[in-house]
Amino acid sequence: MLGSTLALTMVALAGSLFAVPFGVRGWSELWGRLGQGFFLGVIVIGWCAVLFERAGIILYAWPLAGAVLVASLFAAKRLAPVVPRGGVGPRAWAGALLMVLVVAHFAFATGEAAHLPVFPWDAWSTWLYRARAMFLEPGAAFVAPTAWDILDHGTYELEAARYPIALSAAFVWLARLHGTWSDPVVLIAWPLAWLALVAVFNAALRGAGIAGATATLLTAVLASTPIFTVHAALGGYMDLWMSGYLMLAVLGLAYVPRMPAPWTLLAPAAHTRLRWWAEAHPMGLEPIGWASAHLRARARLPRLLLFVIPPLFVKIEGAVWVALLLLALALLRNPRVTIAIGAVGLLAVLAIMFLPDAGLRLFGERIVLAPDFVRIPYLGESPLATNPLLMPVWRALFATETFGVSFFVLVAGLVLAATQHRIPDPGIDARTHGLVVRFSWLALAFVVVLFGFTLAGKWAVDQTSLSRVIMQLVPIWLIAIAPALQRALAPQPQSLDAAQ
Amino acid sequence: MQHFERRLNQRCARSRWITAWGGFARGIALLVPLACSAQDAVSPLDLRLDAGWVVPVGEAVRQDDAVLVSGDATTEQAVVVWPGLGIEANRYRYLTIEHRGLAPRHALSLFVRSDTGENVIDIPETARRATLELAVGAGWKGTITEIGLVLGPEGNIATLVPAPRFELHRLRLEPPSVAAAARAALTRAAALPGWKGVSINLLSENTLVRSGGVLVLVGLLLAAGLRTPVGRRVAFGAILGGLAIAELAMWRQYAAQHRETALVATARDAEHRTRALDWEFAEIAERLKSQAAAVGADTVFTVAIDDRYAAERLRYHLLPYRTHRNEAEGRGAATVCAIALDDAEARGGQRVLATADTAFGHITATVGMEDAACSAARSP
Repeated sequence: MLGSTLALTMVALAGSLFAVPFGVRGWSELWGRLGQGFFLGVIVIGWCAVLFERAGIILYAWPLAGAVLVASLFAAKRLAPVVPRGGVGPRAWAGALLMVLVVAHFAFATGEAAHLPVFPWDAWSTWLYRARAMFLEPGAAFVAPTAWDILDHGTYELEAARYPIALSAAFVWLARLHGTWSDPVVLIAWPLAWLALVAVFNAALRGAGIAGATATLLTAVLASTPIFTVHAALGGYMDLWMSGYLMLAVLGLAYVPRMPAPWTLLAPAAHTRLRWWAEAHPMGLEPIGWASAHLRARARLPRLLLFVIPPLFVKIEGAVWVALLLLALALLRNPRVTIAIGAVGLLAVLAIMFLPDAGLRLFGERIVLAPDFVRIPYLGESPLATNPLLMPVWRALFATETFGVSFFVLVAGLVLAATQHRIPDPGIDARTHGLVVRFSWLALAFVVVLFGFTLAGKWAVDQTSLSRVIMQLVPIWLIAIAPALQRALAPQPQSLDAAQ
Repeated sequence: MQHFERRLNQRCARSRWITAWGGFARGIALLVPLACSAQDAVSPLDLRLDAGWVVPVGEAVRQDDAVLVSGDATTEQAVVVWPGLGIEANRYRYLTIEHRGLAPRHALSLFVRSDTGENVIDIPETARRATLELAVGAGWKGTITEIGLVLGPEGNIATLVPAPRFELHRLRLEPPSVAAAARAALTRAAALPGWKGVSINLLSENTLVRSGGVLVLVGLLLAAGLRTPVGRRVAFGAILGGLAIAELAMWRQYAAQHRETALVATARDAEHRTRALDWEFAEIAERLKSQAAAVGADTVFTVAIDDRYAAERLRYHLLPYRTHRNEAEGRGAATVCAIALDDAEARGGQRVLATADTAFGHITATVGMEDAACSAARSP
């Protein structure tokens, strides 16, 4: 287990090479970059592991670990200037209490991971079933339940065979480093993911302009939310990871386009001269200026993709979150164009609904949109009907200890946001906040539709998946209401003139 | 100075007013239970610990003022029954149990037999004492002829952990009263849910956490509304207090649950047994794999199980064997067909590899197939 912890720490360091700087000082920035590095590093490890495992090659584990070590040493050198001088932790009492809370929760989750075997249903029936099968039988592949007589060599039957496999492969890498399959060796990844999530959340709040006290309070709320702790302690589900990757996707879209390009094909001075020359000679030379600008912009593209696409490789609903995130970005950048495109999309939906014989297909499957049935290729299909959600939602969010105080805080935030004067907060990063708010509402709408009108509603009524899907969104929602809480906890001048 | 005196007089007047109302409220609080008890003079009833009980499962001995109960060696279950009672259920509303030494991952429940039927009522898990309400809906009605205290592992799956003897110090039936109702409410608030019973999707109801949340909500709204230093201190106090209440309420559970987890893990490791809660399936799977390997390289065997959950667990423990689950139509039972290696060839004939009785029913594993389909061997 110690070896896994060391390996994942190196992964976090190596991954921090791609982290976005939030621009805050102190430990928050350092932990935030390490947290980002953890999630980014694990998914890259997973992608590499998938390639090797599918090919049945098992000797990649230590060479890959060697590459991670080299990258982590390089990253440690780059992170050195970020390490705060003159102390080992925050001096303010609130920050110290937060540290105690985080350490306590982490210690508990680690203790459970060290002593409990793989425990929850989806962990041993799907996510870690696959990891263990891949470890024990290199080259293992997975198919949906099928007739007995067509199961062939190396194929495992699994109901959720179509679920993304990258993270399962990353855990296989951990097990290969250890040499044998051991539950604690793999399960330690979950408490570390929890720690990374809390670290990124805190840094994201600070980077978005939220003051220290409010950021500390909200981080304490997230860290104390029981369902996150339980998912860290009873490892094997992917919802905790999706929380982290979703937050990274939002932050990536908010920050990466504004970062200096890490590399360009043109030096800045050459780019400037070329653009001037293109503008001075407008006849047919504009594309040169356009190409020059885009060559610079595309330098950020790999990093942007690294932040935005991992949710696709974690869970099926990752595709929905990424789509909604891009929609939120479009609404932020150009709401009118987006709404116009949305209207066209709505017409297309109506066309599909009323022209079923049109046969529109995606990924080889026909898209069906009917008043009582929907099929969206890759995501699945479901009859449509209203589901009784009020009591399950009340029970999950408020009546039980599942979400602790977080939904009470969210309700307070909504009330405060609705009732406060709408003056711009000078310290708040408007772009980040705008993206977060738009995505939050779109995601809420999706959750309502998913559980309120589709077959997924039965898993909300029996409480087996409602909390887990909502859990993925809680950090984003807390970031969305953070400015409203800050205005309540640290009042700003009430008039626009005073604010200026 | 005059302003100060005026404020002081106002405060004194207010405090006298509060004192008067507080005294009135205390008087009411004292009088109500007296009034209630005066109306119906039913005394609490202690079930005798010195005699009158039998132990159909497990063992029990009387020692000093307690009954020491030991679970059966195999199932870790014990039942202590008080037969031949003739208790009118409507005279008693609450049951208080005082105990010590509840083993990790064990639970208590109350077996009730009356002239209307039999029921089992779960007893909330607490460290020493619990008061629970005996509701009509839970089966507490009619004339109670028998009460049993049932002690056993959660999910009826033996923990394999050497446990101290359970000490029963009191089992008391109580009539309706404010005090008993308050104790029952406190028990519900303080009870610890078993870790196995905690779903990763939904945790238990918890009044304390909810109270903390409400306090935080109120504090945040007050912080927005109150601008005076005193008001803001009150608001921040509510926020921090609420967070502390919710956090500490969860830490009781975390500490208790981790203690049990560590105890079970340590005990299992000491005996070189699997830590899996469903150790029966893990051990059956190991036996099957070693026996199948002894039979031949291309062994195919089927396992018939009476429970879908058990079938899924066995599939996990049978890794790296590839398995196919063939659910019988219209029934909850399942058959797991396990392929040892490449080909799903019929070997002809059947030979029983292993049989086992588990908490989830009987399991039979046989070698061979018929008609390229899973053949199910069912126990009689």
